[in-house]
Amino acid sequence: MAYQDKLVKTFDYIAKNLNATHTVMAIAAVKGICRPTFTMMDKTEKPETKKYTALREGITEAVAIPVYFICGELAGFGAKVMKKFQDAAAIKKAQKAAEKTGDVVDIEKLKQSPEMTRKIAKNLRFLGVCAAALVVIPSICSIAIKPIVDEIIKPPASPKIPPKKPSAPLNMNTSLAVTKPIVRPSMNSFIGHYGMKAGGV
Amino acid sequence: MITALTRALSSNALTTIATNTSSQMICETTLKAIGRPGAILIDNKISDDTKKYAAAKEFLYQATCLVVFGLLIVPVFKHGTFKAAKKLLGKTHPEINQFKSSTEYLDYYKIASKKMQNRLATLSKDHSENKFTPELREQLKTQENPDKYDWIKGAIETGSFAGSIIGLAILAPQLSHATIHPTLRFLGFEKPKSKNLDTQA
Repeated sequence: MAYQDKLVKTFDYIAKNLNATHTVMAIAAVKGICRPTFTMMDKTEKPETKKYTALREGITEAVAIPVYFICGELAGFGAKVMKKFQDAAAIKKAQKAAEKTGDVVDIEKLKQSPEMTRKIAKNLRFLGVCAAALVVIPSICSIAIKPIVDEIIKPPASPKIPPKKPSAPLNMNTSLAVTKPIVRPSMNSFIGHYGMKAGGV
Repeated sequence: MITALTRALSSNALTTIATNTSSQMICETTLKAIGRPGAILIDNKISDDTKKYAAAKEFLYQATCLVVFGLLIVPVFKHGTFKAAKKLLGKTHPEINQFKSSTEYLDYYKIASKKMQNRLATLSKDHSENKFTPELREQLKTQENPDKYDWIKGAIETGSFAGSIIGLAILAPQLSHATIHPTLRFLGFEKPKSKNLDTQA
């Protein structure tokens, strides 16, 4: 068999079997390797921060892979359950109609075709992956990732702000020096910056 | 009820998205861009400032992924793989030469997947008059199950799959590393040289 035929066979197999679960799992696996590696290669960060971030990214992807798989497969399994209900409903409807007319019901013809079941399973797997991306993984990450990472590695210490010294009582005999007010950098700088101001400034 | 659900889950629109790697990834990344910042914003354990900062950072990361996807995967990998397959396999498998581009093939695939009645209705529309070669149009009009040339679809999906991994797992993290902090500073979410929470992957 020439390599062209082998390639065509492989592509044919991929077209029939590739689904959303495989794609997202593959991306999560490569991300789980690449993102921590890139983080560790970053020269601008402190080693402690790098280790913590890389571990967090790695664990997030490690959690995402089985979640995608479970959500996708569970949703795909729903197609089989739906088929049972669909078949039962179609047979019941046909039997009711047959009672009136006296016709014989061909049950096998009423059943959902295997091709249709496969199509629904593929679509349901995609919806399962979407649900995992929208709700399941973000929820698990919010609840579980931080405690797990903190258990393995100590979080990098945040910069300590020195305690304020009590101000000395004002001596009325000394001359008043004009000093600049101390402005501490604040994370609140973005509050109230939503949207555009009048005139686009 | 079950019949309506089955009909919705086997609809052509959903099937087209669920069997197309590019559409799957665009949907999944868009949902991530909603779900992950949303999960951060409803988390009560972290302060308001940190929440807004982390949610903005996560949103920007997913937006970067979408941009990389739109600029790289669709034009380069999706169309590129089709052209490469045409060049490599066109002599031994001449059916691929009937299609000018991947878009034309995917249109054909979509129409060929429809039932005969719907297919004829689609083909009778004015704008689809000159869409395919006369042989392909004849095949679509006369055959109950026209050949869909699944292997061509497999070739396109393989390209999109490889492109998704390269784009989302390797290029997007690099690009986001270079662009997210300047963007956050520009938007006023970050003070120069501040260290903050990392995004989820």
